[in-house]
Formats: sequence, structure tokens, C-alpha cells
Amino acid sequence: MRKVLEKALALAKKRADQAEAIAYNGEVTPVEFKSGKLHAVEHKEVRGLGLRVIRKGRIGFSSTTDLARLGELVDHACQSAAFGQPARFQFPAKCRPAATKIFDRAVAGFSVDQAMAEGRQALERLRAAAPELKCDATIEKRTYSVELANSRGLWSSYDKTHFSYQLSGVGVVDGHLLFVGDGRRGCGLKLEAEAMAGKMARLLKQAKRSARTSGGRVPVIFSHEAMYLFWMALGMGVNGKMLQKRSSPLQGRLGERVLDPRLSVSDDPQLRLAPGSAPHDAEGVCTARLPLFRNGVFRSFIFDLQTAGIMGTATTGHGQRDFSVQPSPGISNLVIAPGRRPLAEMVGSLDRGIIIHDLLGAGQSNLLAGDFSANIGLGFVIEKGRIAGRVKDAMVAGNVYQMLKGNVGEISKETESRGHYHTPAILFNDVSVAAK
Amino acid sequence: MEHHIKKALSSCGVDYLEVRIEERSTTSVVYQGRELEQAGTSTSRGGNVRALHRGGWGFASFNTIDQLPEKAAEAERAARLVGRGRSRLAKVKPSRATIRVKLADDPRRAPLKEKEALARRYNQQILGRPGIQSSRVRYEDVFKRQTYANTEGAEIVEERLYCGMGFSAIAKDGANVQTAHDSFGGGAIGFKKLAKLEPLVEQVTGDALDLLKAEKVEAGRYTVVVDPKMSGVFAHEAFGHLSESDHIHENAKLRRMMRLGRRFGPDHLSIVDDATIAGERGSYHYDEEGVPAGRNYLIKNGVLVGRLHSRETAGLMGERPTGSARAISHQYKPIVRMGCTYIEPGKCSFRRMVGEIDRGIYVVSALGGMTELEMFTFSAMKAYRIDRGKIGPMVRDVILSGNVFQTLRNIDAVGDDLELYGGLGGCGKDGQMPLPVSDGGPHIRIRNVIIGGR
Repeated sequence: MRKVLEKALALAKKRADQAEAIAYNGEVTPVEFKSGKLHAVEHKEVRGLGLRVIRKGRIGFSSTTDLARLGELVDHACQSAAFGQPARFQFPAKCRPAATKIFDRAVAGFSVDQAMAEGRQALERLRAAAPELKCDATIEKRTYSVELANSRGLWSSYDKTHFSYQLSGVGVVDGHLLFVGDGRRGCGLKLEAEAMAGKMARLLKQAKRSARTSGGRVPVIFSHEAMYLFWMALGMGVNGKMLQKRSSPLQGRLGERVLDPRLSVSDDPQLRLAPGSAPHDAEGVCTARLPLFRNGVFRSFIFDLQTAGIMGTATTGHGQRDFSVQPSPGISNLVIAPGRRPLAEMVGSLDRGIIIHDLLGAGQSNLLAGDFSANIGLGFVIEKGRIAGRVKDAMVAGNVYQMLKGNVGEISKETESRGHYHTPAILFNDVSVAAK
Repeated sequence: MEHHIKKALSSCGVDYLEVRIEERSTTSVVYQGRELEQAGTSTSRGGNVRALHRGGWGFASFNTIDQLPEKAAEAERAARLVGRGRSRLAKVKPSRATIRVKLADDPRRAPLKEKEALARRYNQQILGRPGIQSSRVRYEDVFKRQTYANTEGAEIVEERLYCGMGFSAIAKDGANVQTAHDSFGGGAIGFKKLAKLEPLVEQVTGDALDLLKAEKVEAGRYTVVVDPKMSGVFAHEAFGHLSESDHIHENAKLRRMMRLGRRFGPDHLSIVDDATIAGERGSYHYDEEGVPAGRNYLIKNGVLVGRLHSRETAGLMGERPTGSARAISHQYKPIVRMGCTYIEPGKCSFRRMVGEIDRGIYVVSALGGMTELEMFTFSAMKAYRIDRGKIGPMVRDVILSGNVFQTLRNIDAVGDDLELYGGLGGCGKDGQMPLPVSDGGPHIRIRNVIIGGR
């Protein structure tokens, strides 16, 4: 791909002042089981080129997957520059890539046959542990290379692996449909079917009893997998683009204590084998771990080159994209510091409460403002420190910022990796729950 | 290209094989706040081979057409790994057709400059209102040419064109931030149709400002009247997805739940999926298995009468294929999807529907919807209280949630109006998002809806 990049840049330089090209070249191999049986094996090639130019001071962009038509790509990018934003940055001339571990040989070498054998074993395990459920499994391996070059001389490339292992089961339990699942996602090979199946079996067992909740304001534990809602909202709030658009609720609050003092949140693009890690961002800017909230105090927004330029500050190295879009600020891996109390103790400490494992429809609320309202897809009533039974037909609502500031009871000692979020579970003292 | 396709099909050693090649060109203009975020054209070109052998599917996608023979071999190999039974595709007559987009006022011919000017004008309209913090205006046209062939002799070239605009207004008062959206669009609509959307833009802007002053809804159980847009979201999200047979045939319990002939709702309730309505965003001529698109009743007069099929699910369940196997792009295999799903109009006037409610909520337009089998959660863009038969003040953060079967039974009035929406959005399923679809319906009234709030 280096030759293609160089050719695209050479063509672009004839018509633009500066240019930057980014190429993705990779392969995705999902192996999919449905209802306990092997369902599909796929091979997908994903290859494409994105070209950003600065022409007469304005930014233009286009992308293609057709590498034979670079002339057309340059045309489109230059046409786009007639209307583009005035560039408030220069492409970086150099890049010193960090030595981040994002490529796992074990993933690259993991064959379709191995994936098939692994999936079969996991499903057998589930059949034994949770015979009531129809189970699906997807094991997906992705290997790709990213190459980045610009007209100021920067050239960098890296290889990355992705491995995703998802198990899920569905069944009718106690007259209601039940969905349970667990998964692992990252750059490394994680074959933890035993732990995942064990967890699903435990949730199934707990769901066999139902318990009533009268609703109202109750203590609620958001388990690791349900915490994403909070981090999604904070991720939007710290986004420099939202600041630029003056729609972030964190605007003007740098240095202010906006979260509970026990909460520290950083973005870490160097986290070993984490899905959001990279040696540099998609514009060639290198970064290290960036504290966003320290002991509850808001410390930093995240920026890419252009957004930082507009806001009169420096990029934090959070330019993210694939080849088909222009960069914009994005979280890499959000790391939330753990608390002191084991999750089991948090459950044990509640006389009455709810623990939520899965939320349904949470993304539809006005999350930018922090507001959410979601159906409890999978949750349990806690009575006298024990799981009493499954919550049905109930909704939970609140505001992420208010809850993380004044409503935190306990933060769990255990953290888990859930995609781009490395999070503890959190108990909130006083949460609005509506029940039928 | 034809040569490569013919060769892949003729040398195939599996039960069935198909090739799909796609060329696509997307022009978009995006304003966010005062800044133009994007204006330009991007292209893609690629294809895939899907093979079926002894009931197992193999799939390989690629960007370089020259690689077709190798990719065909890869797909065949994968199919052999998976196949352990019998291939059961419902029989269809192989189609041969060429469908070209013919449009007098083709948006592809309008220069980028005009598209940018149009987006800028609407963006200024939104930002010009005091109290508006930010905006988002998107113009998009997508042209796609798909070439399809399979080992049974189907040969189809179909061009599709989608065009539309989307608008968001963000109003802010202190920490209170409210957003309103709407969009306009469809399949193959002329560029000039986008020139007079001022009233729609005005509505969106006004809604965002009104939401600032709206009170949060009080959680509880209400009688709800939903507008045609939310009625469409209900038809599509809550019910439509359950009619997708790929889920049904895999799951015996769901199969029992979705038994044809079962009564699901009152006599005056019918839900149809129709992918043949000219100009709708969810319409097409042939699906991604080369089967002609159809008009398929799902519920007729309250009774479950049909469901959506791919050739495989139709074959496995012994039912008629419906032309519902769709894929968002060449990188994905077709799965069972909807086209344009809507509730058919009934006889009740809107005035009567509201007039009979003592205490309720009127839900207008949807921000989105999510389902997990029979459970659904939908968020309204805006809503009004209904007090003693009259529409009262606006409320916000209205999120409806419930069980689809109970909710269908609780529909006690179906309006005499009908509107369909395509807009610019799309549906997501199994990682394939966004697929162009339309939905809609009349106003409907539902008893006993749980609404979350504070």
C-alpha cells in the first residue's frame, strides 16, 4: 500500500498545498454459531484510502475503495476543498510511534478450524450449564494494517489485531423471554469460555425466580456491563467537538469538581492489547494516558488537530476515524479507577435494592445532557443482601452527571474490560425506577 | 467483470453460489453549528461471493474484482466446512432484469455547490432563531449499482438512488440542552423537492425551543395516542422485527409465539410490509438474493397471517419467499429485513381518539427505538399531556416501554390517516446498519402504556 499512498500524495500535491493519505488494509474472519450449530464462516477484505487536502487554506476530503482510480479521488478531494473549513492546523511532519502492544501473534495465527473447535466446545459447555437456552456464539478475528503519510514527510504504519468472542443465549424463563450473554473484546486472544458460560448459567439461575419491585427511589447497582451508559455520556461531554459546538455540559467547568471525589477517569491510548489502543492517533499524533477527571475534578477535554486549532489549544492526540471519514475527537480506552469494596459485599450490604446487568434502549435518551431512561433488560431485586429474583417490566431513569456527583454509594474493587471501557461496578444510593 | 462472474458461476462445485458486485457513490454535505463539517463525494467498489453447500453458507467479500475467482473458492471452502445437512432454498423463478434510475431531476447532476448552498441556507434558518445553540444539517445522495448473478440463472442489474436531508436543532438554556430532529427523503426523489423544506426546518427549530420549557413527564401508566411516525416505529421495531423469519425458524418457542393464525390484536389492526411502493426509501425491485420485492401482510384484521423470508427461511419453514433478504453493502451477506412497514389506517378520527381520553399522553415523533424480542423501548421526540379530552402542555423525556403482544392487544383505536416516512436514517440488525427502510401508519391509541420518567 505504501506505493499507492505515495502516488495519491504525489497527485494531490500537484493541485493542493498539503495532503495527507490514510490507508486501511485488512481482513475480518467471523465464525458464527446459531442455536448451537455452526452457521457461517466468512472472509471479508476491507481496504480503502482516505485523502485529506488543504487547498487555498481550506480542507477537502474524499475516500475510495477503488485504488485504481486515484485521479478521481484527488478530483473529489479538491472539489470538496472549495467548501471545506479553513484549516487551523498543519499536518505533523514527524511521528514517534509509541511501543504499544496491539498486535497479538496468537490472534493472527488463530485459524478458522481453531475458531470452530473453540465455539463447539463453548456451546457444549453452555448446553450442560444452561440447557434451557438456545445459544449463539461468534468468534471474530480481525487483522489489519494502517498506513499514514502526509506531504510534510510523515510516514508511519502499524499492524493491529482484534479478537472478539461473544456468547449469548435466549429462552423463555418463568413466562418471560430471557437474554443472557457475555463477551470479550480486545487485541489479544482471550479464550475464556468457561468463565463466560459460568456467568451466563448464574444469571439464568437467578432469573428463574421473579420478584416484585414497587418502584420509586431505590438503591441501584449498575454492574460492569451496565456502566457503559455513564461512560458514553462522559465521553460525549469531554469531546472537544461538543465543546466547540457549545453543547457540552462540561463547558466552562475545567478545574471544577463535577464527579464524586472517589472517581478518577483517564483516557489511555497505550493500554496493552485494548481495542482502542494505537501507537499514534489517526493524524499521526502520539499521546500518553490523559487524566480526564481526577478525584472528581474535571481536568481535560479531548481534541484532534482541527478542533484544537479552532479552540486555540493543542491536540490531545484523539483524532479518530477509519479511512472513509475525516478525523474527529474520540475516546480511545476509558479507564476508571477502582473503588475499595468487592461487588459481592456491595450486594450484601443492601437491605432492598436492584442490580442491573443489561439496559434496553438507553442510547435513545438525551445522553449528551446526561439524561437517560431505559428499560431494565436484565436486572434483579436484592432483598436483605441476597438476589431475590428477576425484575420485569421496569424502567430506570436519571441524569448521569447528577448521579456520578452526588449519588455514588460504593465503587467496586473489581474492574472489567467492556470494549473501550475499563470500569468498576457502581452503587447509586437513590435512583428512580418505574415498575408496572 | 461479466467474464469473471460467469467463470465463478460455471466452475462452482457447491449446491448454490451467487455473486454480487456493487459500485457506490455518496455525496454528502454536513453542517454542524456554524461550520461545514463535510462536503464532497466518496466512492466504493467491491463485491462478494456467497456459497451454499449441504445447508452451510460460506461468504467472502472483496474490493478488487480481479480476485473474484479466489474469493469464490474461499466461499466454497467455507460452505463445505459449515454444511452438514441439506440445502433448502425455496424455489423461485430466476429473474433477468436491468433496472436503471431514470429521474428528470436527478440529484447527481446538481453541482456540489448547489447542495452546499441548500444545506447552508437551512442551517442559517435554524441558527438564526434566538435560543438555538447549535445545529446539524445533512444532505446526502447515494447512488448504487448492483450486479447480481447466481448459479440458477438469475442475472440482475439494479440501480438505486437515495436522496434526502436531515435536520437537528439544539436549544440550550443553562444546563438544559434539548434536541429536535426531522428528516425528509426517499428513494429516487428529485433534487428540487428539497428546495422548499423551510416549514419542516421551522418546525424542528420550534420543537427544540419548546422542549426547553417542557416539563419532564411523570412516570406511570397512561393511555397514549401516538402519531404516524411513532406508529411506524412501533410497526417496525416492536412488531416487524419479530416477523423476520431468521429468528423464528431458529427458535421453537418464538415459533410457537408467532404461530400463523394467532390473534394478536383487535379486528381493526392490520400491519403490512410493502417494498414495492414507488419512491419510498424502503423500496427496491429485487432483494439481494434476486427475488422480486413484495407486498406482504403480517397482521390482517388482528390475526397473524405472514412473515418475512429469505429463500432459506422460506425453504426451511415451507412457506412462500417474500423477497426480504437484504444487505447494506457488498461487505455483508443478505439477512431477513423489512422494506416499508406500516399499520393500515382505520376509521377513528384524531379528534375522537383524543376526546375520549381523560388523562393521557400524545406522543409525537420518535427519536428511536430498541427491542429485545417481545420487549420494546421507544423514545418520543416530543409529547403533550392529554387532560379531559384536550391536548395540553408539552412534556419531555417520554420513553415508552412494554411488551409488544400486550401492547398490540391494547390498541383500541386506529386513525383514519396514514403517513409514511423514509427520511435519511435506517435500520440496524446483526451489525448491518443503516439499511434504508420506511415505516409509518395512522394515529393509534394504546391503553396502559408504561412511561418512564422521574
